[in-house]
Amino acid sequence: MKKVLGLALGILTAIGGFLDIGDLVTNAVVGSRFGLSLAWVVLVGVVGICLFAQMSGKVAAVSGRATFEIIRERLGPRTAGANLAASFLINLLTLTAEVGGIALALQLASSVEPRLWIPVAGLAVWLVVWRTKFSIMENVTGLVGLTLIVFAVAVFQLGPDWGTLADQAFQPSVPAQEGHAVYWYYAIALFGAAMTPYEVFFFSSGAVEEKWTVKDLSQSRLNVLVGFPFGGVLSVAIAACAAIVFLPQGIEVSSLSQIVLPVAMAGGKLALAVVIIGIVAATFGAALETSLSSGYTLAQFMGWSWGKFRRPTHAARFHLTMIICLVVAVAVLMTSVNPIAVTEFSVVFSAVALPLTYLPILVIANDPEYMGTHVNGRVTNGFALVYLVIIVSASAAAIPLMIVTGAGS
Amino acid sequence: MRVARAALAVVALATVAGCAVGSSSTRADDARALVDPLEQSSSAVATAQIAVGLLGDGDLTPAVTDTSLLDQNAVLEDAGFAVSTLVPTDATTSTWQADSLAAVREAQAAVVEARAWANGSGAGEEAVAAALDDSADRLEELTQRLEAAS
Repeated sequence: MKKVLGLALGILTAIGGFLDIGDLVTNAVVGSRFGLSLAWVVLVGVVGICLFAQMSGKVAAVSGRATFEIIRERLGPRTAGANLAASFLINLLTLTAEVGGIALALQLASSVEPRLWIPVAGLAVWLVVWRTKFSIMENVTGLVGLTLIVFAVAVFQLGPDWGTLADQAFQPSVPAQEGHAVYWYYAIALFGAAMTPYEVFFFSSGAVEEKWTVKDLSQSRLNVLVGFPFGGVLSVAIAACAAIVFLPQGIEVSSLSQIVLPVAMAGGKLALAVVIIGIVAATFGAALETSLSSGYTLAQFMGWSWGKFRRPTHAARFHLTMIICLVVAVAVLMTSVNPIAVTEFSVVFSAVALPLTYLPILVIANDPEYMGTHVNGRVTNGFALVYLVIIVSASAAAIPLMIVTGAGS
Repeated sequence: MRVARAALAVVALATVAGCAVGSSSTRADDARALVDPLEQSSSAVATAQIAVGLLGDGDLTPAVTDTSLLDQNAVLEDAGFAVSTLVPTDATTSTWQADSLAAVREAQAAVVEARAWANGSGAGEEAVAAALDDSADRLEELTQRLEAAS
């Protein structure tokens, strides 16, 4: 019974923890402009993140070490250093977007200006990272984040024309008012949002925090293979809400306050309260994960002691890294930069950095020195190679498309 | 080496010259340049209409309505900036620019009025909704006229 409960909790947390500010914004923007004609990208992204998250979890469980520790050892300090620089900067950008997302969600609840909430959000994230147990932190934000299921309920309550939605999803085409370049730019942004690198660093380091062993592999696989696809369904539900309400009226989503309107339309103030709680939980959870990921990546690369299972005094540089990253994120946001713009850039730059994250994981997952008999099988490697081609193509096309389309405008 | 430097200088000069403010080449270009901010404005007004309708029905809180209208005000500010910084080709496009700017400012005034109502002051719901409807109609008419000219 305890095992079943643990499994259920793991799956529910994976669903609730799947969405972050990048998913919320990108799916709503895409839904308002392209309907569900980019839903296929969410499917591709979810399969990719399942494949690589599961792989990085396996590496951590079998070797007992997190990804970045092995990357440096296996690829050497120079290659690993380039990898670290790119991953760390993207992670910092994502952390900035998440802290901004918390402030915007709190503005919805209070109508108090986000710049007053930003330092509060930064401080709250630090306090939780400093004081709370890893498992509690992960489970609470994941479970509260589950309230975002209200987007899926709203889709049914809005009473859409299912035929139109199905046509958009299953016969995707570029809408007349949008160009092909913009369509592919948003396809890459959506892919980057689904496969954000920090999720993998967090997943593999979390496996070490929770002391996974080979015995835990089947449970972790189930968490990923069931939880993440349900998270993907919620992503599509956000896009569907925007497609139902905004697309027919020519409304383009450019703020978080617009994203909650279809939910209020479907379920009134109660649904509105639930979705705001969900957004706060999702962005707060992702801010915790990105803060920790910044500490994990740097500490693992530098060989410092790390982990929440250690007292802060025994992992001082790990905690200091997180504090500095939070201070930088808060400082950037206090310049009045638009958090939604930061989010849009963070998902596209995540796509640019994808090969740096996923190629080393694939290399290590095939190294018998670390994995013993648990090296990847042929089927997994086949899928992974297909994904490497997709990831490299998306990475190479992201910046040119950003320039050509004026960042999708 | 000198040739390479000279070529680089010419490329740099051409790039900078391309960024210089100057007249658009044709009326159609001006019309296209004005349609984008007008569509942005229509999107902002439509969002405001939804928010006002939901608040009126008791389905939205004043805090979310206020935030939503504030966000749309910022969108209209950007649209106004895009319209006002266009350098018109001739007298006709200058008139289009003036009409577009007036339409965007009217939309902004309607959103500001709606925000005052959402916060418990200003005109009643009917007047606010009517102002937004009028603004949406004007933006729609102007957009269609400019699209035909582009």
